[in-house]
Amino acid sequence: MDIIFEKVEHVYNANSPFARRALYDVDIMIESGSYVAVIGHTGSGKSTLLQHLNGLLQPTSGIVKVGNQTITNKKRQRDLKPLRKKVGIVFQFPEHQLFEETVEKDICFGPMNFGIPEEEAKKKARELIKLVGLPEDVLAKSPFDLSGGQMRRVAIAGVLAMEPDVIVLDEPTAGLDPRGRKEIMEMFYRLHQEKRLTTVLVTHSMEDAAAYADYMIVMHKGTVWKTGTPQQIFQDSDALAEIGLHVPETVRLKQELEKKLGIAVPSPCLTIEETVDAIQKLFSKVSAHDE
Amino acid sequence: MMNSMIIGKYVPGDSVIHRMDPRAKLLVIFLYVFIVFLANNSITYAVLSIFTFSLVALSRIPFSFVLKGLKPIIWIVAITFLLHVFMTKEGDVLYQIGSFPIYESGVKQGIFISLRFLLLIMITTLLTLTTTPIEVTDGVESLLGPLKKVHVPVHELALMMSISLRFIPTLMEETEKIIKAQTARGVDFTGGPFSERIKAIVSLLVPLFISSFKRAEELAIAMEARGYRGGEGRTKFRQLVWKWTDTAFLVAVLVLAVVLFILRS
Repeated sequence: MDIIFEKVEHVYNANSPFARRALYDVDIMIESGSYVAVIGHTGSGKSTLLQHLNGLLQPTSGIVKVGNQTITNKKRQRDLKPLRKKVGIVFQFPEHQLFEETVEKDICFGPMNFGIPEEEAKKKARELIKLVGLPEDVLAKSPFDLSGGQMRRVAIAGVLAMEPDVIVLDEPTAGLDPRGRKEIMEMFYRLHQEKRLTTVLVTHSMEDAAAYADYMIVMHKGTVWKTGTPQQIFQDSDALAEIGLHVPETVRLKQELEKKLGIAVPSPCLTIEETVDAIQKLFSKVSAHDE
Repeated sequence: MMNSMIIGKYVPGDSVIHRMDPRAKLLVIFLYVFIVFLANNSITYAVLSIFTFSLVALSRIPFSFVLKGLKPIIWIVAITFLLHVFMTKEGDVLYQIGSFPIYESGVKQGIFISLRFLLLIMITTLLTLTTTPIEVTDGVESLLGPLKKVHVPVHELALMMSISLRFIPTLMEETEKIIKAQTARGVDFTGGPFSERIKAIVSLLVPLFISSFKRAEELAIAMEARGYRGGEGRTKFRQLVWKWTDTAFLVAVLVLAVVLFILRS
């Protein structure tokens, strides 16, 4: 299910003294089955953009196409419900949306809203609780007896239970410990690879964007500043710094090495593994030279 | 969705009304509430309206803002008006709707009562439009000060008031956030059958309650960490100063009361 934005503009409180344009001239394309990272400084329009993906916000002008659904400012909110099943959003701090008496009920809440029978939803819940890394006996507990990190996982399971075709993640690991962060990011990446789940990740972590995304959208002051592969985006660290962003640590290491040693490192060095490989090659070149 | 809520919205300015001591404003309104009931004929209502409209004019706040404040109660006013028109059975019959006679005094009474309503809301709207919530609470605390002698926790009440005012915008933001998150999970807040609407409200209220309790606890800890230990011996950053204009406004209201008392029938 491709997602296409055409000349999308969004103005909050339109036609009032408090009108504020949060998004303009946005033309993007998110291909089905891709992993797209959206980065940008605070207030660059990322959150507004992602709320257009499932029709929570409708463009003030322009068109959003999600699969065969078209969203314009004329669509009624009620007609957008089917779209919300196809595009699941994990909001920032999703644990705030938990409310049921038991974890199981909360996970089943989303799917049952979309008409999936209770039995099937429960089966799904049992499957998903393991997927997000929690033991099955958590299902019977109250979500409010869990730790913050566990609540986060339950909330994520609740969104995944709707079996969306596209999953949108708004800083899904904010406030988690390093291990939880890694586990959750790896889980989403696995889902993306195994089920070809289209994934849109909004993040402040350049490292995560570099490690997982195959396409990036950089937002700045309400519009698209640049799009491309992580390698393309992270090539120009000075330009990124101008809009308040930076390159991943590994890319910085590579750039510093190149500057200090006066050589070119051929690898883009987007992950630790790539960087280690690149440095290893440098070493073997040097030792070959010595001999 | 919350844009029509003008009550409680402060409009910054530097008019005589803005600069009035909040205690004076509160006293004026307190007296006004009683004085409104003195008016009972056309002349007294005219005098009362002129007085009220001059206060609005003095505040230099665009009249449209004050009108917006009247919007939420317009239905109550309309129903009150109709009730009076249909229920009063005195004086001459003005008009006949089917078998329902409309009496002259009914219409008159309807207009008077509606006007009374509108004037009251107008003056209180004027208070919130020209006074910051903090000033209002300071004023209330100071006015109720004498009650401390009989062990009424005045300071605590004022603090509760200012804390709740402070958190209204935060709560509204939170509400919007949770509505969005639940909408994304397929909840329909705009319609649907009754049982589903209840479920929708529950899915909003539970998270809201939980975050409010959490926030209250954090706030209490933060206050204690900064050495808060009640109102005893606590000084104020903003001192209330009673000026001669404040006395003048109070006198004006008392004069109004006397005038109305003389002119009423």
